[in-house]
Amino acid sequence: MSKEEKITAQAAIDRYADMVYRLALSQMKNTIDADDLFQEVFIRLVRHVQEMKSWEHVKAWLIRVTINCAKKHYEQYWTRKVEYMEEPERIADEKEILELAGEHPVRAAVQKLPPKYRLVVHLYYYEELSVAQIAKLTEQKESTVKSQMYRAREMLRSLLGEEWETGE
Amino acid sequence: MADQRNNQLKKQDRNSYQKETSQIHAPADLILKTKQAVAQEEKRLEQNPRPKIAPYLSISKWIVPMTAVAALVLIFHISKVQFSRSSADSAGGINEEASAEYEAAPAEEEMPKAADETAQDGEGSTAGGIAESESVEDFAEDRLSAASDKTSGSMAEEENDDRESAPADASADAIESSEIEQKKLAEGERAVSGQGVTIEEVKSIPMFYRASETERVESHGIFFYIAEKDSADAEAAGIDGWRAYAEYSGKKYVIAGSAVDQEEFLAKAYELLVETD
Repeated sequence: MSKEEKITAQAAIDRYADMVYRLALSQMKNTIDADDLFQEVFIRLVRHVQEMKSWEHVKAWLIRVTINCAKKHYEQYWTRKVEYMEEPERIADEKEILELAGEHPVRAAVQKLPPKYRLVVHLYYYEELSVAQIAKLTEQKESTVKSQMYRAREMLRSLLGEEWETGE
Repeated sequence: MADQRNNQLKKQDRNSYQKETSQIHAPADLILKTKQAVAQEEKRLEQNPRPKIAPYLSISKWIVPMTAVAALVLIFHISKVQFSRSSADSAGGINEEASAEYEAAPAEEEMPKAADETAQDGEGSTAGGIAESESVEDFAEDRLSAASDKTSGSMAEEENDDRESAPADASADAIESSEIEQKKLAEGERAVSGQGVTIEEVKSIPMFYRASETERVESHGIFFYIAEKDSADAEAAGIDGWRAYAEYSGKKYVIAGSAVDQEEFLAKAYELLVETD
């Protein structure tokens, strides 16, 4: 797609669907919530697409809104957890994730991290954003982001440590 | 070695994570459903040009500026209250200080006992009216100009002094000048005379003003500080000699002469004062 393509919500879905989905999945514990988050983000974009100045602007906006909607989701979870499905289904989702561990061991380990650590790991290692960019998107100090990165690596090292020490 | 290992781990982590994540794609059905939902939202917005913004979002736009305005108003109100309170306190303090000085001031005043007893005109300390206030003020100016050892000597205090209290001791200069004037009187210099009573304008209060025998008498609205004057002539003539100090129209006068009694003397003195003015 050319850079000159008109910025519309439909075009944004084609461009950034995978990015938003991967970010949503990294924030949510299950695919159902990730799907809901995915849809909500692009519906919100419809209301603000006129304000977008460039595709980079759209990308940054999508990441920020995905993060904020995920936070709101967790806040709502604690207030209305009775509406959620029964425990076995949730465990099944986690099982699904663990089943993927054989194919995606690092990703599986990342999914075990707390949400805020998962976020910085995803933005840093996959989206390849700088600490400054991550700090701006997450509305945190750079020192906080660095601290989260350090702790995430420590936790990952402990989760993946044996495997890597053997050189695999 | 450990650092290299850490770096290696980071690199491996990154590469693995990127590889694993890149294999994840948004499901096709999810993309389709989302596109349909977006199309519906776009249609809705076309029909209703105003974007549907959640109420909390529209409010949140104004929360910060409204909070800032409210904070400013509160700070202004508090500072205004504190300022008015501090002004009232300081004014009260000044008033208290003034009243304390007012109360302390008369303590150092001395008054001839006779003058106290002659407050029997019954009209109180302000009976002299303008003349009385002028006399106290003028006397205070004279005293302050001299080297007085009085400690509470403010003109405002002296204006508020008890009318029945006499001024403090005259300074050495005032005494000397009054003595000179007394001598002048004795030498027979006369400013105005009439009917055996003379009047002379003086620059300072005479000594006999503080004499114990001096009485303060009011006549025709003027306070006369009057004392009997021993005089061979007067004694020989069988009449009393008098002398008095009075202030009239901002000037100081000494009136002296003979009269049958104090009342006659005062009447003559008053006539002379009026004529002289």
